Amino acid sequence: MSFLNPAALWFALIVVPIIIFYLLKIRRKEVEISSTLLWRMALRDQQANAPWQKLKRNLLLLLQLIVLGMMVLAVARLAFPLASVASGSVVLLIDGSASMFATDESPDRFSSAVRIAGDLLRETGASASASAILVTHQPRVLFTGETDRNEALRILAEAEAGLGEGDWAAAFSLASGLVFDADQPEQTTYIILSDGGLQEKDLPPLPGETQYIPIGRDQDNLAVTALAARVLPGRDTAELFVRVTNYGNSERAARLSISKGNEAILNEQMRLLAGDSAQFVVENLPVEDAVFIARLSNIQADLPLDDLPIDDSAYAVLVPPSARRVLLVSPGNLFLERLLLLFPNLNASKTQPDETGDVHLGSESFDLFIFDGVLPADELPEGQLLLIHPPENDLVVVSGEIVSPTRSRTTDHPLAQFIDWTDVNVFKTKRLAVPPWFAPLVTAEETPLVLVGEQAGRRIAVVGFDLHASDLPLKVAFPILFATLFEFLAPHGIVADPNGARAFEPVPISPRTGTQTLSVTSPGGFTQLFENPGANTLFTRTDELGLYTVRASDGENFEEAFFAVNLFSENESDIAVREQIEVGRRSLTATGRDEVSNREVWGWLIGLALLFLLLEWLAYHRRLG
Amino acid sequence: MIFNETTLRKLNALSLIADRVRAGRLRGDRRSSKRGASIEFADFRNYVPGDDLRRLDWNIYARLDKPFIKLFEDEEDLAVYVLLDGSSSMDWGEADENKFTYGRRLAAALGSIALGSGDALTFTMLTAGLAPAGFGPSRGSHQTLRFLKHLEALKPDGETALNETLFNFTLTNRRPGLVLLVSDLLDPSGYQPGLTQLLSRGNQVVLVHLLSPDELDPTLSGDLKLVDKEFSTSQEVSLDPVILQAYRRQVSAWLDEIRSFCRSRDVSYVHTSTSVAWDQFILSQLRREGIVK
Repeated sequence: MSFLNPAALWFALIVVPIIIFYLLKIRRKEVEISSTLLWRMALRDQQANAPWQKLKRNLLLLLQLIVLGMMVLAVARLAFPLASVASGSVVLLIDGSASMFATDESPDRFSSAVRIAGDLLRETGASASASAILVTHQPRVLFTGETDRNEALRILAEAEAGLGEGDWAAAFSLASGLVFDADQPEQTTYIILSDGGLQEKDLPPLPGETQYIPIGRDQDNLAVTALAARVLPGRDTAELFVRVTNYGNSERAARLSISKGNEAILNEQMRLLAGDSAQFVVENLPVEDAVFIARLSNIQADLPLDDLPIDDSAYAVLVPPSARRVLLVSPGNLFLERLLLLFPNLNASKTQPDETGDVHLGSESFDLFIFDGVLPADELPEGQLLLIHPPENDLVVVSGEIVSPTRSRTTDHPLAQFIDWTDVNVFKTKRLAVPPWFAPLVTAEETPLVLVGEQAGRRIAVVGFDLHASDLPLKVAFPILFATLFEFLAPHGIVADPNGARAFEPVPISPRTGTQTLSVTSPGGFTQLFENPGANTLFTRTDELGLYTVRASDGENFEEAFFAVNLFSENESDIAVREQIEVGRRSLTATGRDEVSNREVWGWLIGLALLFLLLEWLAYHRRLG
Repeated sequence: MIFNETTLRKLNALSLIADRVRAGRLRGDRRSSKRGASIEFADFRNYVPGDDLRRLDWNIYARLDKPFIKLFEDEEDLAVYVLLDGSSSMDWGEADENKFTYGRRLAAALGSIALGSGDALTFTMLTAGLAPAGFGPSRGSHQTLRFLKHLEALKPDGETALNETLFNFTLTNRRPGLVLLVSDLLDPSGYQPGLTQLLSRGNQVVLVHLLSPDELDPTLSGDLKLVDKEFSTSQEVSLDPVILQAYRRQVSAWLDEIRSFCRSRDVSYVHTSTSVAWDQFILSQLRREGIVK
């Protein structure tokens, strides 16, 4: 029991004037009787404490003191440390990250969190508005300002955790916006239901009281934390790297089995100390398309390995490298030449225009042509094109030059997402008119600077300025921009990085030119179909862990590729329940389930006070009667 | 009328029992403990010279040849004093439960019994500054109607000074007799000296103690200022069950005290509530107590 406004207890001193008034002003009804002799005799013993005798067993006074007591307690905001929340609004932040799949709670942590959230909602006052945010990779407001408990519970029951990491910064940002009474944000209580695996270090403070209810008991977990297949540079063999980590707090034995397709290539028993990792390298693997699966299991096959099964297996895809032939046509660009050497999968050749400036390409075919400030006089060659500082041509309308284009910046095109253009300066650029099939990656106020597009089955990128007329080659954006352009123009495979995806991360798929249908099938059997996919199709439904199958068809030929989505998150695999979390540079200590909050009972107190007031009124009139 | 003919006939069949009163002066219907010249034979004794020859039993003399004198029980009248408390405190209670009305009926009944028995009845209403002897002494049942009319005209008033009025009573009524005192005894100065004074004059005393039901078990509640009807004094009290319980305990102790005092002084004590039918009280309770027969 506690008082949220203890200063109001001073109001209890009102009891003094009430008693004084009673002592001084007891209104007595005059009644004639035959003789007061017997009354005086009866009261003789009581006369010694006559003043208090007036108060003793005085029902009206007693009732009035009870009413006063109730009201003082109500104003002092008497509260009980029940498993309930304050009378103001409550915002629940429910961890829906992968670690919440841990089975140390029954049936798992997320279900337990939802159950506790439901209990909390049931225990809040009927007038308290409740909001809930499901903290997954993309936090989602489940309900906001809900006063209908049944509706809130129904929505809660339908919530599902995700296999990714929770974006707590975004969740906190959402939660801060859920303060309904901006003047009294302290009326809002934020309750974080989580195992404490908050990835972010510098979470902002929330505007109201914040509490943390830890979910989970154990930390028994072994995880495959890395699985990668690669072709060794300069050799014709591949190797597989796997790492296993024991996140538990005791030594564990486990069996690691690795298979290539259906062929077992490793079966190893191991013991791992608490917090230790073991690494294995499987060498001399043939360089060929292959899918590797690593699985951890209990030595006793019929028992579960640990509390978090989702990270007990991992997938890796091996794709043999294929060198792409690139021809750089340039009067001389040291930056580009050096850059091309950095990409091992690019087999670059170089040619220069002749003395008159004409370009002669010969009959050799290339996957990608890079024209730096020049273009062939006759038709453009077959193949993908990268035009840098182009002269006038049929593809892009070039109309004059602009000196010092202003406010150059990247667009929201997916290919531009990793390019940091903030400190890049361009001195002079061509003014480009953008055809509808082009999309800018970098643009200025006056003209786009970098364009990508696809026309008649050919992928084209245009850089409007001479690299020497900018400081781009000196910036970090330079290799990233061109790596992006090379991957767009001459992709390594359908899936550029088949081992880099994690749950809920979009996977860029680059179907070959002319692809008519593209389908992606998840490990669970869900298939998403793309008709006439673009050059850079994003598959975003990576909500399952495992091996995804990509099938592309141009109507005649059929191509299949794979990519793996693994957990590979130390933050999620380390399922130890944190005793405290850092929020707003303040440590939030785990609050016991029974100490969640104070339930204010002022409503009941006022109700009781009114009831006692009614009784007092009845007693008064009965006495008068 | 205080009571009807039927009740009066029932009362006339009764007589007061007074076995501890000194002899009276007039021959009455009451049997004396002294042998005398009444017509009821009591015993024989040997003749001695000087005896009245009219009382010689000639039949025995003829049979036994010895002279015996017949002895007759001597019958005498009894002085009966009916004293009714006439203070304001007696004017309490509604209708038939009014203490004064009830006491007046008792006085009328007891007085009628006395007159019907040939006793010398004296009735006095006790009030402070007593104008003594409201009625009597009178003898004979033909006085009954006058007696009842006298009672009907009475009204309670003023303060009681029980001890003082009883003392004055004994000064003006020197002949010992049966004193029937009807009072509520609600006198701050007490009752003991007055009763003792009556006893010291050779009277046999019967105390009929009257209280109304609400005096025995009050139904009051709340914060009250109780005003004494008789003395106009007041007493503030906040009534609750505890206080009421204390009052009941006090009444019970007070009655016990009176009963104990009366027992120790050979005073016949009869307590009744005005809720009891007055004629039943006379015909049943006083008979049971041996005050009437």
